[in-house]
Amino acid sequence: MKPVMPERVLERMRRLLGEEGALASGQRVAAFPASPGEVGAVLRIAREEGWTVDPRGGGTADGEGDTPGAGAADLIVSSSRLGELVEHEPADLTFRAQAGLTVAALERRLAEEGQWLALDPPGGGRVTLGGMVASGVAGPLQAQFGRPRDQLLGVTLVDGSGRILVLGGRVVKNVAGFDLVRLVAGSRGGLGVITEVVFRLYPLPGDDRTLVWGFDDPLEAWEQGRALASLPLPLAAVEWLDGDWPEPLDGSGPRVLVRLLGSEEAVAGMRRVLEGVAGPPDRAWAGPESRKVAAAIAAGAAEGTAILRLHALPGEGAALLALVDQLAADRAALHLLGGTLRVSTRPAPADSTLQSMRAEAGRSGATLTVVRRGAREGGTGTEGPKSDFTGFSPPVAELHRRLTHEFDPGGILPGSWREAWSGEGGWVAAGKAGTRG
Amino acid sequence: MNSDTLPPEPALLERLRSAVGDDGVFTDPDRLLVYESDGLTQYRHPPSAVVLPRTAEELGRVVRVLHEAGRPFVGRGAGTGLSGGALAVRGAVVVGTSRMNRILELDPVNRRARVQAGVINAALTAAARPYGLIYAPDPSSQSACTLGGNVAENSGGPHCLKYGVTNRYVTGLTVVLPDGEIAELGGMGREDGGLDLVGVFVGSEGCFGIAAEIEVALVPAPLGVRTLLAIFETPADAGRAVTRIMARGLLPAALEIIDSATIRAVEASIFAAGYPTDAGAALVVEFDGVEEGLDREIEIAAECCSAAGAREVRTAADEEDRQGLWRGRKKAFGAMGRLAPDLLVQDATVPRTRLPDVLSRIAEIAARYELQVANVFHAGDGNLHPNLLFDRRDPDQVRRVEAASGEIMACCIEAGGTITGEHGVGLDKRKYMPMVCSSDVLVTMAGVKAAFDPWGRCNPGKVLPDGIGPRHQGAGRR
Repeated sequence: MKPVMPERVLERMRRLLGEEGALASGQRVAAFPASPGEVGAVLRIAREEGWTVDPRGGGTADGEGDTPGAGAADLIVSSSRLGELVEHEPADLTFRAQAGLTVAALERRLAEEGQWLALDPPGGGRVTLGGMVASGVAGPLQAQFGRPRDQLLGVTLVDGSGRILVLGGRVVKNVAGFDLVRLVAGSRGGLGVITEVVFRLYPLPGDDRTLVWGFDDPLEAWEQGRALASLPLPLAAVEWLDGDWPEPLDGSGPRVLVRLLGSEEAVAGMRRVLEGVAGPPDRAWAGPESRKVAAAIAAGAAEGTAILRLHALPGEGAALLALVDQLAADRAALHLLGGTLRVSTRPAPADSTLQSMRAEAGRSGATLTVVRRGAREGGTGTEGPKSDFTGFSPPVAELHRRLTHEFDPGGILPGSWREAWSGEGGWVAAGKAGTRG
Repeated sequence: MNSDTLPPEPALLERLRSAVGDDGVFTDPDRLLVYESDGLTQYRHPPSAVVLPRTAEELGRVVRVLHEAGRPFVGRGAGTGLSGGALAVRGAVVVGTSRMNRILELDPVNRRARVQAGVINAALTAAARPYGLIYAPDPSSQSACTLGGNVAENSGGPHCLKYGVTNRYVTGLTVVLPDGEIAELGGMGREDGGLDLVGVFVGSEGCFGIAAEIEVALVPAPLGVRTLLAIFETPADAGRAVTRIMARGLLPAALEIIDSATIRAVEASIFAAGYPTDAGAALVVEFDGVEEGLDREIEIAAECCSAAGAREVRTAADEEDRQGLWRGRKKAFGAMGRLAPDLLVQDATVPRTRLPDVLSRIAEIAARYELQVANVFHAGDGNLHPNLLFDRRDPDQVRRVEAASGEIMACCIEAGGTITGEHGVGLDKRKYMPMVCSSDVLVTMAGVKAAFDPWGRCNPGKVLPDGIGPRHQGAGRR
């Protein structure tokens, strides 16, 4: 698919969205629609012009399967002008907001009502609600609250034909028809542009504490952390950390961190049990300080680093630690109950290193994703290794091809063009490969 | 008998028998009768045959044989569904999972289990308890319903206020697609970079294929539980107590209300739980978690109930006492059988704050149609079960029940709710789907269905209204 005439596309976008609504950068255009209707019109133009589209939130998961910055799409559709909190009904513990609102801005508004969205996605202050839903990933709080899909009640999606699909609703139990809300969560822009989301909320807990134990040896920390994670307690988060983390988590070396949420009595009770196993913590934070620790972990990787995400069964996390041992890791965090390891490294690993890690991971049933490609020695930040999702079985690949076609018959969205998602051209190609296989 | 309900031809039966053994296929009308309806008994459609595979491989072979013969089919667990979803319309063959009842793996280290689809919900929790773990979703039918059925319906239960419904806990599936191909979807500890096919399969009401094996996440059994029962003069007072409890920032494990009609039915039945028969409503509140703090939480909840006008608040002293407080709620549906020959078990969800308003409108609708309504609801979730009592031998009553149901659905949608919170659409609510989904959304749902089942043979005639089809014909398999 070859872009035709950026000038003409820019002109059409500006006629639709106003002068400020579209920018050109070389052969590419960025559009900033301000309503689902405008997103639909933008996507219809892209389809007519044969332009590929990359939906964009805060840009914190740019590498999810492909090149950041200098990406492969002709048109970036940004959610930066879709930032409204549309509806918040405190007594119903739900809200509806546009996709470009950041999680951080939302939490500030909710805190005024004594409520919160119990999710702490990696990426820090820039993560948008739409981006969080599209990437589908969760932070340490997944131990108790699951992933975004588990708190998401409704979503408005503008699909590749420009149709506005209002999916789900604003009630916590809803089985009216097929669950397209879950199909959209984690679809990484492959089915359309998310313009609005509805989430359930929780009351802010009476007490919020984070406890940290330090160790000399990463494996010893992992074993102790697993022992704590395996206690029959409702722990909000239980993480293994290594590397140099910023304030207030300063200092370096392997650590186990546990976050406790609940009434003061419940938190004190859980703390007594944890101390019975691991002894008194080396450090502890309460209230706003505990939230700052969570924010520091969410902010995660330093600028310019490559970020990898590895998955294994929670009980097999030690194998992941061994796997990343060969990297010049900057910071690493492993969810001890979820089995996800997120590691940032500078310089970015060589292709050959990544290949051997991937092969090794594959042998134990684990998986590896490049979240951000990062910089090579003396590089600009985009030349690290790419992701590679080519592990679909033939029937699963075929399902991806058909589902992608349903939402994006013109083949303009990432599910149709992202090289990393099939080795050649998105889930669609994966489906074709699957049929051949 | 029209051609739809004719049994499969002998050659097809022979192929099915060779897939599952002679004892796994039957067509005699007496035995088929067991499969003619589910828990919503006003719909009756006997299948043309029943096939009972024992493994995923046998299930795959059965579906492949049916696919090659062009026969529609429907998967069925225990038949406890409440929307007619497992009924064999259009001459379908029932593929039952009753012989697929093995727990394949219990892995306490990773807090997961892998089961065959016919394993009963309560049996999984019973097997996990020795490890201090439970399977959290607990639909009222948990002693009979299967995990496969739970996956198809995305089942809830009283405790999903705190714990969430089935889709929160299903981490991987081995499914038989409508052409008989076996596909592995998801799996704990891996990320394939693709779409959440597990998430969309859960709740697909048997229309995308049949789950053969299910991997679920288990959670630690709560260390402590506290339960109270509060008695109110009116359901609106009970509703106000719920609002107060939630406003205090508490998250109970369950918040259940039953109304006066239901209380009287329970107390007149063998399940009598000692609820006062002159009460307007009873509220069950439960907290669970670590022991510390539970007493304080239940105390706050008791205060909220008193402040909302409760005339009596009882706290369970021990487990036996607790089971007693729950009995009236858990046996409500069973007890309603006494009130009338037939019961339409309704299901809808509204935003919690709209509950009092919607309840009074439901009462008004029932009165206008001269019908008795008995309400049971998961108040914390806003999930209502306004059950209509009638006698299906009286066509006029049937007509009034039908009309009142439609108005109740419209009233719930108008309040910002939806037409089903946990029972599913099945056969029963297809006609209401256009009230909650735009035509673009319905067509997209049909397209997603066609991605899994381009032939339209897997549980045909369910979920989507007649006349709704995918926009891309031929998008299917070549």
